[in-house]
Amino acid sequence: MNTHNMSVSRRIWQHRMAYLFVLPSLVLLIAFMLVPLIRTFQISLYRWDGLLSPVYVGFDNFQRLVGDKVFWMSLKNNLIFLVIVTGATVVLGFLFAVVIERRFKGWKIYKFTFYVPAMISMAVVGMLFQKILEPSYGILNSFLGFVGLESLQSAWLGDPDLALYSVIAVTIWQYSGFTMLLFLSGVEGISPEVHDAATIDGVTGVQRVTRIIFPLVKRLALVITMLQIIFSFKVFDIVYVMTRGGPGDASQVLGTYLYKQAFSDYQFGYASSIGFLMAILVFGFTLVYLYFSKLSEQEAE
Amino acid sequence: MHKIGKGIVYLVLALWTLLVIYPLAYMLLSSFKSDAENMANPWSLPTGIDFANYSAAWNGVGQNLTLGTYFANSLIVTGGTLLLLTLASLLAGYALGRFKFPGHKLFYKFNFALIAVPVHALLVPVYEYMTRLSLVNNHLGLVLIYAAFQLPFSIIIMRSYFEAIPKAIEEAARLDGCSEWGVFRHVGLPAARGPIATVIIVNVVSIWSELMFASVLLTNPEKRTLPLGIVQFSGTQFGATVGLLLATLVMSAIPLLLLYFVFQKQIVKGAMLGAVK
Repeated sequence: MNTHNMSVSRRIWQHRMAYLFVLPSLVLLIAFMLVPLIRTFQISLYRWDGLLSPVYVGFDNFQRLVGDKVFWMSLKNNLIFLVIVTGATVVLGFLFAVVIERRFKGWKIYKFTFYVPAMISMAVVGMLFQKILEPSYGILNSFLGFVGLESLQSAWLGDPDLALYSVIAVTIWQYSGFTMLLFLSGVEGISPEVHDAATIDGVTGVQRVTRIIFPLVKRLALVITMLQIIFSFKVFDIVYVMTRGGPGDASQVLGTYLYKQAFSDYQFGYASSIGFLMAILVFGFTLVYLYFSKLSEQEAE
Repeated sequence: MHKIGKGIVYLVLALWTLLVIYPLAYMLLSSFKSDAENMANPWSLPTGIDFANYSAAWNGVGQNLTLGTYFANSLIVTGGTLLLLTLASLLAGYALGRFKFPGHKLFYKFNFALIAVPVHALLVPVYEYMTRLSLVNNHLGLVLIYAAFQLPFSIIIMRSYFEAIPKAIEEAARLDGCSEWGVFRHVGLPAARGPIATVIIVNVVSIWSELMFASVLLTNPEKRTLPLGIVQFSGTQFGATVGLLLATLVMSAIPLLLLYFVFQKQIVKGAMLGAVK
């Protein structure tokens, strides 16, 4: 069919079924994502409690962010969360994937068990660990006492210096199995011939990992890292359930601080300026991620 | 040296296995113990399988509610969302995968861009709209936004499946006298079982577990979904009771874990696909 000679309107008419098929999705996406996103920016220019009429304040909310200590702490906490969670889940996930692919004893058990935490709601995981980390009857402190490490017993979620790190540890516990499966998709794709050749060449276990497996999944590792970074920026549930950002604001991250500003303090405009900033941060990182994931796609072809 | 290295790896594996299993075992075992037992010795095994905590937890949510209400609400919201999400993404994915309609590239890019939107940033305006549309405390409101949030990625999954169907099959159907609609029904739909399963698997955990929007949009206790319901009463006297709380958590974890035990293979495959996300 010669599409060049056809007028646009004829081509549109010819594809009327395609438009009909796209329509429901388009309506949902515009109504519940695009319009709210634009509206977030708009609200961020106002002072508004959600009830009385909004007052236009220009970029005052953003200016206030610059001087807001809790905002900077949330951003800092979010970055700490990001670095540790991304680093740990990527390293552990890669290690577990290699172990499973190399068929270490018990590999089926690891593959099944390590993903179980990812199949439990964060609300459940968070509440379970609240009990485990409870200072007086929680099993962590009671275990430390049992093995004679009383000096390490702590108020894991009540101590401002520890709360964030406790939440981070639980997140690593929950999501290392997830990165394991992502890595597995790449590691299991390495052809047996490569491994046979390496065996003939007398490559040892550690060398096999560093010289053969890792270079082959390097791009995938980058993609998974970006994925975990984006996930870390969006963290909310686990912090909300375990500490509500506390004690004080010690474990506040961007998501929980936005939530607090909007639905505890009813500062809709200010909360929206945090939301808008988050959107820009995540959008930037996602663009970088998509760039790399596209590259890894081309590499596979 | 080689042997030592392997020994360390096995040690890490054994440790991590224990680390994953023990908290879950503790949750299950202590849920059968009375509170006195739990306080006296958190490590002891239960003296028997006593479901007292379970019946108390099931009925103890308060205000004439049972945990059953939360389960039912979560089932309605998750089921409704998956239905709408699958249907909408199936149609859009088919259109994108099979037709080069004017604007198809733009629509595809639009979806990619929306994957990058952190939904938290939409919390305030979505709350505002839902209030205006009187969809606060209405499960339909959650179904609409959950479906919208998961759509971009689901459309991209669907598209990649439909694009892979060889043109020859489509043309054969057309030669047999099939219209566009006929091709969709006889070629597209039969091929859709795989992508439908993938879309459901990739999305079910996050939809079932969603907390932030639910907590803002469902203020009426009778309407709460399961994760929201259990988080809400963790702060009460009831939540301070270890055995009761753990029994609640065990019951709450069962639906997704059951899904994992039954569909492990499909879920593992679906999760691997997540690398695209």
